[in-house]
Amino acid sequence: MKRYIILLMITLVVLIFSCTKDDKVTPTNTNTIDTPATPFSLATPFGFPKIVIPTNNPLTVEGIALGRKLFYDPMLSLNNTQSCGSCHNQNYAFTDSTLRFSKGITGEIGTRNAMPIMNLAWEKKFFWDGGAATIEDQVIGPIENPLEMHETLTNVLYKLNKHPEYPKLFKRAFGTDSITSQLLMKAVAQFERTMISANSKYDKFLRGEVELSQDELKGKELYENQDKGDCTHCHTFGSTFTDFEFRNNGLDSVFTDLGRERVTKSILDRGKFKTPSLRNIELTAPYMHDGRFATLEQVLEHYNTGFVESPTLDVNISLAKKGRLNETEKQQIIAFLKTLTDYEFINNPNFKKP
Amino acid sequence: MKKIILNLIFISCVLLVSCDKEETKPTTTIATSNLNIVFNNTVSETPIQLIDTQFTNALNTKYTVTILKYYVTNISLVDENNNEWLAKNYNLIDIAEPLQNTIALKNVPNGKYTKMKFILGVDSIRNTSGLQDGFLDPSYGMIWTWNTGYIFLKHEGKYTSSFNGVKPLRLHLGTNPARAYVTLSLPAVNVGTVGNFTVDFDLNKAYSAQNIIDFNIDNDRQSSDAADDIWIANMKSNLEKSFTFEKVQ
Repeated sequence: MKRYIILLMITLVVLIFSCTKDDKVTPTNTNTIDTPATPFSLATPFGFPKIVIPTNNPLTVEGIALGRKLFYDPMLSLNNTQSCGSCHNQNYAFTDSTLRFSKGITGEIGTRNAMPIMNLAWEKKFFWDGGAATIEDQVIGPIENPLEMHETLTNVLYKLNKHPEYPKLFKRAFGTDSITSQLLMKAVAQFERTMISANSKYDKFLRGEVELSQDELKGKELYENQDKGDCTHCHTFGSTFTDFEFRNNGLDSVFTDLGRERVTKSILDRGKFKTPSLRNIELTAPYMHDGRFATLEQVLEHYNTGFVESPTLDVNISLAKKGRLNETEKQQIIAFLKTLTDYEFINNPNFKKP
Repeated sequence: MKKIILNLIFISCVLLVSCDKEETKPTTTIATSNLNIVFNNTVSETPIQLIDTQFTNALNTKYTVTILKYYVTNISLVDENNNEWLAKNYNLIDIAEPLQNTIALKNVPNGKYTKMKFILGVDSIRNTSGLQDGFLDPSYGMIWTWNTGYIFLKHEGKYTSSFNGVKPLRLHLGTNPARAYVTLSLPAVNVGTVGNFTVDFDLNKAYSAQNIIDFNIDNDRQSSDAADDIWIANMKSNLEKSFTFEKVQ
């Protein structure tokens, strides 16, 4: 009797399964899935806004591992010499060492400083001018840029599809061994979404695990003080250390790089660039979209006395008093900024070249 | 125990029935046919071929075409009773890929159609991410990598400058203001009896139908800065007048 019940139950399960399966899009490729990829749950770190994973690219263990392999694979460049990791070095929070502008495969240099790759899961727009709308979309820019990897997507896909390993890895991650640009974008994006930096000294302080020094605490206070550092208006104090906006921070009065205007074509966006997160700022020198400042002292002095007027100058800068910080205060702010360095992030084995 | 089995059997039956019900069955029996629309790319009635042919525009400037691609999307047909039938499809016309230049529409309701509409470009919903397949796949080289959005029309070649010889021509039209809404009059095309018809695109009209474009000024446009705005607006209104119904085949 029991056996019948079990049989019926199995039948039920099968029925339910077959019902739901009808809704799914069947992959066009004949080499369909054997075992589905393992879902991966990305935990939201303490104090951070909740991470939202797009429904069209759920994280899987296999997808992330594949993205990591692709991130470090020089096959993505025209002459197979450069990978994403060539200019996004983990030791420097995934920026390009101390270079102002990175060198592409032809030796030509770019025009903007390589951005760190961290906490992209919270970002709303990508690149210094927000030209890419999603993490997936930003994957193709550096591959195709003649000043960077100088490759075509078509050729990358050709190389990947005839590679001895990649078709199998894509099949494990996405259920098909027919590699498309969509799947390439999705895999790299999955890996990049997991690159979270949230375990600096400051985070440990927040969780009550360590103390900050007197200078660091004073720096934290100056950071938030509107009459002093006034950093928090843009580099929002707390978790992400950015407001995700585009702002003109008074670097120039005449702009050679139009910044956000290039994307929106609005003159109101002239000279505006993304507010970068200040996490790991100790490691991401040089600073600004064009890497014009080599040190944090220079950056602080820019915000203290160096900023210049222009029609799109950010209101927070134009309202700030010049010379409001003395030498000690600048050093204290820098001391606080250095508590945002996350050694666990730059040593995380999950982000290293596989 | 028996009760449980009966219950389970009952549930199974319900599930089976509900499964069947999910299949959609056509509710009406209107006869439909397949229709092929052939896009014929020309310069003043001369077909554009991938050879170094020199064409002459409205300003008597000589130019060539090495790449010509454009998106034709959201094709709809309007019948004599003003009923509109919409095919939500995305096609990339490309002079280098003749097979792509015949757009196959499936299951068009039979009837007499007096208008054809389409978007030259990509609609605002699909223009926001490159994470797409079909002809919207980024590997077709019709998406900008520095800005999220598709190149609606790409023409590359050379032109003979009035000032200093042969110069490169690189025209990449896109962004939301560039989206052109094309409406063509059809001579009551009878779907059900005809299998296909031809639409002509005249590249010269794209540079002159309403606003004259001078290659000496507009030879390199990437739709990327404010200086391109006038060119974009001019191209949009020109493109809306650059297509004509040619013939039923």
